[in-house]
Amino acid sequence: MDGFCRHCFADAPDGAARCPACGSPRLIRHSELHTLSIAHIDCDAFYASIEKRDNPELEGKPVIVGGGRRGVVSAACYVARTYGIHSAMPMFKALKACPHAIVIRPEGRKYSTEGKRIREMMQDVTPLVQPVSIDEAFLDLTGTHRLHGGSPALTLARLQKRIHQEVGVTVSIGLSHNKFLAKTASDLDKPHGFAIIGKAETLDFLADKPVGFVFGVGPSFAKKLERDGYRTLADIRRAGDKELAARYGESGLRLARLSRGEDTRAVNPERERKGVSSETTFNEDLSDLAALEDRLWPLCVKLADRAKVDNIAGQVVTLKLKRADHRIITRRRTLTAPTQLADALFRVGRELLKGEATGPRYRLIGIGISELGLSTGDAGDLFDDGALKRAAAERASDAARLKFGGDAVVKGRVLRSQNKP
Amino acid sequence: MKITIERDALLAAMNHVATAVQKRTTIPMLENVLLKAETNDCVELSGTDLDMEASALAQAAVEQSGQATVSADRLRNIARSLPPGANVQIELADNGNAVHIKSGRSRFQSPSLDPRDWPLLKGPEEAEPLRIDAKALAAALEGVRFTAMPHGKGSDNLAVVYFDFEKTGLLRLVATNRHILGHVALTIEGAPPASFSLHTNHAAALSGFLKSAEGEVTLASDGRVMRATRKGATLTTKLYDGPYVDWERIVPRETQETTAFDREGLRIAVQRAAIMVDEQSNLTKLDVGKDSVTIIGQGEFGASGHDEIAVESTGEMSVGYNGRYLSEILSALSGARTDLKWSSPTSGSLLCCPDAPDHFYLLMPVRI
Repeated sequence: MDGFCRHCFADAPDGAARCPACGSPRLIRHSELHTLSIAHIDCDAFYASIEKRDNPELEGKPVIVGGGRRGVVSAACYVARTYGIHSAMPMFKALKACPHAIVIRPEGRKYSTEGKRIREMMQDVTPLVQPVSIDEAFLDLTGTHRLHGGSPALTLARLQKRIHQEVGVTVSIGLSHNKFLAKTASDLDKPHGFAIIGKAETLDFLADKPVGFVFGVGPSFAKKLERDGYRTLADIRRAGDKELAARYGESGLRLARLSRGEDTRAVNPERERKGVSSETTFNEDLSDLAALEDRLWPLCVKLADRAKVDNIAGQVVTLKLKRADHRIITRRRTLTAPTQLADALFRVGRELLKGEATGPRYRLIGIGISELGLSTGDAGDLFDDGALKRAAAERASDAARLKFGGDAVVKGRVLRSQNKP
Repeated sequence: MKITIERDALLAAMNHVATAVQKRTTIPMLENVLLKAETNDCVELSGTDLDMEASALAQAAVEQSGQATVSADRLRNIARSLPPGANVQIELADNGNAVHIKSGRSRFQSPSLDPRDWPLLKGPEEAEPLRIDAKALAAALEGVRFTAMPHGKGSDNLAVVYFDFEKTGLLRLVATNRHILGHVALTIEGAPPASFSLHTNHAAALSGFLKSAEGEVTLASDGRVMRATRKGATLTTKLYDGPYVDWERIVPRETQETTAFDREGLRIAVQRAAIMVDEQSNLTKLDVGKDSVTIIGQGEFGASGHDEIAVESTGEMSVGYNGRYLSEILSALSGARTDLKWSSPTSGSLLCCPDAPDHFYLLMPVRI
């Protein structure tokens, strides 16, 4: 069976428990090791790993990255996960499970800079990189064997090592023959893992998985399927395409195909990001316009920071509010020219907010941009003399923050909201 | 209703009516054309989308007067498919439920909706119409239309062309999208109506209407609707009902510097430099010197295009503009020479031909 050492990349002979060359136990073997070429790479507890990298004192301690008391967990390190904490979990629950966890406020700019570095390393091995989010992507390494002087598996192992050495975070790799199974595989051996699902084992691997295992099958669809007698993917497979399509239409057919591990979606690097947004949940519900505005401004800065790192600008600004009863309200406005400036985002966001801050209590506010394009300079406004001056000021403040650190220049508004209880 | 109409007259009328008819709508009547045969030698055809109505009069032999409605798209396609010079008979049949159309050996039947349900768009009340040369108005409208916000993209108050009658003896057409402002003035005679804002989609329809008009047209408005009339046809549209922006405030009274250049030369140079610029990005940089301007188009990954033309300039600056706006302005202006009048690279620059100062554009720079 083909195999190699993930530490020194030497061949691993059958049966050996450790690498004969370097003694590492991190060996990988698979009969299809050198023929598979679709991969999914997922950073392990990305935000938390970056925080741990930057502060060695956090080593071995449970670290949660996320918002305040009422926010949710953005990332939990593997120590914190042993307490049952997972991302998207409400913060108060997480702190109940692990009261001594160290909570760190997310610093989006830092993560997106590091995420971008990792993405560039991925792009060094193949142009076919399809980012799924800031910390995960699909890669198609088909036909790169000669270029890199080794199989895709070997190239991926080298990439994994390079990311670890240069960025200081670990990633988990799933390698298979399509995107669905590659993504499934990357979850099998976390953290710092390398898992493979070959063609030969696909059917056996999927057989006993519950229907909800397939992405896109949510709790209600899964319930419906179970009611109709389909509990596992083997049940789906037995029913066949026709039956599934007749019962559930398009999504039934899709499920039937995925139950056999068939996924024809290509890794598509062109897939555009539709929008970028930033939101926050308050400790206490807010209804006052001024208080909401104070919360909106830092979000605009955060969003603008991300847009600036990626050199993108958005033509449509969307304000999101969540009422105390969890009803979500969104208001959008198309701009006359795309922007990536916090000032411009805030001005539009504030206009939209004025229409909604008329009494109801809100628990969350968010702002986003969509219809993205490359940023091409800050457009002036014939009716707003100050727009170009404010743009110049914001660019100057960005330069100062880059040089002297994140808090070098802040608006008075930020200090005011920080001083509030 | 039963009429006989010549195919060419029917097609010409239907082509005009179609400007107001939408193909997909939730109100079935709006897909129809209203045929009104009330005298014995002509028929009136109308289409509407509730905000705009296009009507045309066509000569016809009326055997039986009355009204009918029928799918506008189908009637137009039938007229198109028939040979020139053919006679077309249109008859309301089946107790008013169907329209029968006959020509030569061709027969068509189409369902008809009750004409009493036709949504009438009332024309301007007691408005004195203004007479104006159709070709001149069409050219003026084309000169400013591209500077307005497009229809349906938000900022409704800017998705209009403003017909400004504030100055005696002048019709000033103005449009702006906050980054560019276009201005053209026409002399008029007679009492003007109150100024009004025409939605950009209606301005496009009016432009088409004017292009197929001969001689003079009349414009009438009561502040609620506007009606343009040419021989045998009218176009009625609702108007934007809010006030227009205070556009005169942003037009600089005086500028400090003037850069004079050959219009066609700069237009070609801007287009050439833009070859290296990606479609999304429209940034064009001008390095203005006393006797030459360097035009730089900047693309992604360090791509760039440079060109240079001779100018006469009183001042020097380095400025960025939206290249698409700049080339549209240079195409829209006439005359050999164009003056760029400016004060700084962060305030609006004026572009006009010195022989026609009333046709000008105000262009806001982009920060590079």
